[in-house]
Amino acid sequence: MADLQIGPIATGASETRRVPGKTWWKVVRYRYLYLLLLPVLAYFIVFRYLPMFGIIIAFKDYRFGDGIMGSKWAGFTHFRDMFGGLTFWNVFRNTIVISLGKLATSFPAPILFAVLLNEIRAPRYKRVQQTISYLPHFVSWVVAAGIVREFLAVRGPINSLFAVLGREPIIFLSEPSMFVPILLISEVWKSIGWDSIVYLAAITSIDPQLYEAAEIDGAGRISRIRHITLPSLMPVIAILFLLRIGNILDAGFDQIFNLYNPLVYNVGDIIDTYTYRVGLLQLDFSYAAAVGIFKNVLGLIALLIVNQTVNRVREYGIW
Amino acid sequence: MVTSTLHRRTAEDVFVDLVVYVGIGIFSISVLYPFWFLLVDSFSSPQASTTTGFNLWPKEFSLEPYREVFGQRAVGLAYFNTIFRTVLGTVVTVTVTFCAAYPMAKRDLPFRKVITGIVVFTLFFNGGLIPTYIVVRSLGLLDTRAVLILFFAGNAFILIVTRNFIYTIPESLEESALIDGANEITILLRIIAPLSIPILATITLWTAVMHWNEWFAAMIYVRDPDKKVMQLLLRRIMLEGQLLAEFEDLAEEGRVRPTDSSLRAATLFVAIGPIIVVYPFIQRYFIKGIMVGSVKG
Repeated sequence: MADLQIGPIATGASETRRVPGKTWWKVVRYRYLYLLLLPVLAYFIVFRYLPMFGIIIAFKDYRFGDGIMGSKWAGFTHFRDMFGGLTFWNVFRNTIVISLGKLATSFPAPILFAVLLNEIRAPRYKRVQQTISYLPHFVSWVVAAGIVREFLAVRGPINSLFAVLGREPIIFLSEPSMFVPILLISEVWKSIGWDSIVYLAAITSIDPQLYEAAEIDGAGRISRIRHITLPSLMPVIAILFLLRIGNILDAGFDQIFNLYNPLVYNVGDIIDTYTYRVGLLQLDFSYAAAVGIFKNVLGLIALLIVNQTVNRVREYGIW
Repeated sequence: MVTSTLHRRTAEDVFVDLVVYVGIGIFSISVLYPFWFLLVDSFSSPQASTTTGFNLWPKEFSLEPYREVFGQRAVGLAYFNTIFRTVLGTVVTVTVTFCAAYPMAKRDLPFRKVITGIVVFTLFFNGGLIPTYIVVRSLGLLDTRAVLILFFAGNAFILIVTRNFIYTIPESLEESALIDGANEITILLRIIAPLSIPILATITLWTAVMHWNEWFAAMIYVRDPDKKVMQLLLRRIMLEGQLLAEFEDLAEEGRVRPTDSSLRAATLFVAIGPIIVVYPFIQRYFIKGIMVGSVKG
């Protein structure tokens, strides 16, 4: 049944092309193994590949009653509407601005944190600090956004502090100029500890003899950080940086969706939140699907380029 | 770590220590304080919590907010729904993944690369929100409990990680069993499964935490209020300001009730309580995942 749909992809098969008879004999011999694969294949076909096929609704005027096949073709109307509309470009710009903002803040933050943590000599204190730093990672953005909201509420800690200083309270989350900074800070808060793990692991793999030699040569702690720790981290930093670039269009749906409101749409609405609202609230399925495709195709291209680059970095060992 | 045992501590050493300890100290306070001030609020009596602000300790300690929250039908229901999807969803995902990971680790299985390709491709490209929604709706899965379990039944990343683990089990172990006439399913249960306990523990925890925290699929696919999960109840209360709509009997007369803010805070801690309690003990399983993931995607 559904297996047929993966047929065309399957013809790209390699590995087992020698003697056809032998291959099929093996297939029969391993029939139980294919049986074990069946649930996962069914899952991927139904929940991952059928939606890819469903992308064609972006070229139709989809109505639920007509079904995907029965709906009328619309050509590129939705794409024309999208590229011709001001909202889309604003949303696109917001996505890039927020993404780049996060790249500049929550990307370097864990590196700094890992380097600082590495300078702690008391192992237990270090472990406790690490565990504390992971806490925000283990709660969802619903919870994190709830905390941010209470923290910034009119009667919350920040505004109470303002009151002591004699300043007027600010309704932070309704203030367009405050929204992006709030996103950047809360992102650092949620991710810094967890994202530092990779760097800490890389630091532990640095040869201790390097530090000893440097110390004998009279290098202080700061110059050891500068000349040993940071250069040793460069390959990891480079690769993670590239991977981040590959996801540049993911500005953080979960976070923004749980924090934004119509007053800050102008600066906070991103492609993903826009797709959600247009598609599932205004029920303009086809147009929303077109926006979604635009993002996914662009994202795929970015990811492929980045993967190529990462492989090259790994192969030739530029550093 | 890089202690200087060779000579006395220099001024620079002291300076670095100062920066590090103060910096890290400020950091951990800023991580914890947002949780702490809500925890304080959730343990404050109705009278005291009306004056929120920079409290480090409840002015008047009280269990009233928690008593109220635990008494809510909506909370009990949401808790049940979350536990239901977490337990069943985890069992399904781990079973399906483990069953598939074994054949995918079999080096001479015909079409193995094609199958791996089908799985890995989904890490790079997907149909997007709207087509996925339409597929789920067409299957008649909207508003069912099953959708939250089926929708997360397969996971490319977890599958690849599990497969890579099974790769490391020597094939000679299976061969002897094959000679004894056991079929692959017997081998999977008798030989592979016991050796795979570390990876099974890891993916079980990943999946369970994911299910506990998941809210988006629950929001778009399950509108039925009786099937609302805890994360969504929390979203309604904390982010949509629907406390009174969700907590029905609050308006009862003649009762001093906790303030809204302490009720919200208490609900939040009820929702994340299990996570806060277990995460220090299970974090190492998650760290292992990052390492595997960064080594081979």
